[in-house]
Amino acid sequence: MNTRRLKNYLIAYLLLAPSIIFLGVFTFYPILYSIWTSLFTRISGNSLFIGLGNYIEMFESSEFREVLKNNLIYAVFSTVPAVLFGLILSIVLNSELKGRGFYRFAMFYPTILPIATASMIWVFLLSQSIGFVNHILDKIGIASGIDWVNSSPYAMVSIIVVYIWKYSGYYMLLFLSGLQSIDESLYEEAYLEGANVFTRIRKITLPLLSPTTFFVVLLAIVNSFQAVDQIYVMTKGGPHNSTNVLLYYIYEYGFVYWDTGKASGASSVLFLILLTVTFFYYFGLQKTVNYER
Amino acid sequence: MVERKNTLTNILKYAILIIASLIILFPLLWMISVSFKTKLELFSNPYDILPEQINLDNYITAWGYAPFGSYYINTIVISFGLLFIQIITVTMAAFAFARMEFPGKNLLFILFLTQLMITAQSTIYPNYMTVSRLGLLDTKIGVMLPYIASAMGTFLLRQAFMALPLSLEDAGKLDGCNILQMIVHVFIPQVKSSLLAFAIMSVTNHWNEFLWPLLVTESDNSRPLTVGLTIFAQQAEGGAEWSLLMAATLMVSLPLLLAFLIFQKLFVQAFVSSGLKG
Repeated sequence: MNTRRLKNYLIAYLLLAPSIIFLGVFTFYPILYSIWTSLFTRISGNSLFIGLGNYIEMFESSEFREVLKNNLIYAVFSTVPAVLFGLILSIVLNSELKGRGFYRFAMFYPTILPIATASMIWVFLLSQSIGFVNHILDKIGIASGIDWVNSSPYAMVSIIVVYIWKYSGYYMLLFLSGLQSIDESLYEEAYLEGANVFTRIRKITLPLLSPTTFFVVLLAIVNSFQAVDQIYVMTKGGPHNSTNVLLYYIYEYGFVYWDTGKASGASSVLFLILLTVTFFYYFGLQKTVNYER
Repeated sequence: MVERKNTLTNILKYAILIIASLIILFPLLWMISVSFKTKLELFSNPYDILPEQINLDNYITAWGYAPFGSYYINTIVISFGLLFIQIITVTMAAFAFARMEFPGKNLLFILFLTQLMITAQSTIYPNYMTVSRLGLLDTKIGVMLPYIASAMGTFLLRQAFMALPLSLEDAGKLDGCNILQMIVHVFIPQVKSSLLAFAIMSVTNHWNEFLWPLLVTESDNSRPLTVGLTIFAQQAEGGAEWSLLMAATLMVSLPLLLAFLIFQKLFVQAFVSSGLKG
């Protein structure tokens, strides 16, 4: 029945065709296009092959190095607290408590708000003259009159705060679903053996939760490299480049300076970073095949 | 949990949850409160938690200030139109991956996986060039194009299809269905909850999307709400019209917030299942 088999193959390919065409044009072609055009520069309208010239120029420029540094700072200082808060809150919430629906709404709603919109609220909250944050800081006597979004290093702190606010609740829910798969009887046993709360968290919760933690951390890192909306709305990469990150750099070189070579070069660097994370993701997936949420 | 009557632990738990909830909730409450304040009220008592009265003037002014009506329509057309197309592409691809055998299956599957990480956000520049060459700048279709294939949707549905019994195909064959009829009449009704989860994710993501539509759209005929709002803000911010801006911001976010308030469990399930599977 060979023709029948071939016919089945053909049907499968036809079913996949629409997706593959669009993936090809809007995901794979862009990757190849970016790598290819990053090897050229435009001189008076003509493309000139310069090999790794754009990369050399980029990595030698203090601007691009600063962008990478900023992105790294942003990734670390937003990912670590957001994941940590998510973890702590999920452990606290994973018990019989009143008002779970309320906490869930209160902590998760930022996930469904547009970042562009949410950033607008934060610009207002962080406003130097009538911002509520300065009002509180002033009241408790920590600081006063900080120009959050327009001065360094506060601008970076501002976009980090927005990330933490937006994602902590989401990560909490991801952890919560991981926690619910842990066998309750393990805790009972440990309790009977006299282990206190912290020992139980350290010996049971954290080890059994590690697959979830792994995925949440990778997701959080990817999210930190996709951040651009809040930067566009809040700081425009400033002041003095201090909140300029890779994706914003791509946006600026691509759409403000129209420098194809640099925009493509920076895109390729971003792909490399994202693909590295993806690689770890698959690697983790292979290792935890028996793990189901 | 085991510690049933440990009051101290419980107090601590509630304290952590309530404080964290209030901090995270505060920006939303503040936005709502300020949106009801008059300009004068905001400048004389900027830190009053509650407005003097529920005053809808800011909403009326904001609505008249910019074509929010067409922004709404554009956002609805983009997010739901896209969802409609995606359901077709995603169901077909997921069915092939879950229920059929063909050469190159694993390789193709890995190619799909890549899209989960190399999101459209990071390919804005080449995609802009493509959309421009297709002559689709400043159209709603142009905004949708990069998302028509969805790896996330394909995954969610593949998983759902894989969980269904083998006998379903036989039932379809007995009824004399061709493969498309079989997918539509036999398989889709079985995976409604996964489709719903995907629909929630997709509509939320595209309702909220900002940078890509900002670049692709040029006029109010195609601009979605998020882009319209920032343009409105750039005009209003000069005069520090914060109460007006907060009203506009709330108008943009309200539909999803209300949907979330009503269908909280569905939203949470959708985000959790798609988050952990990719």
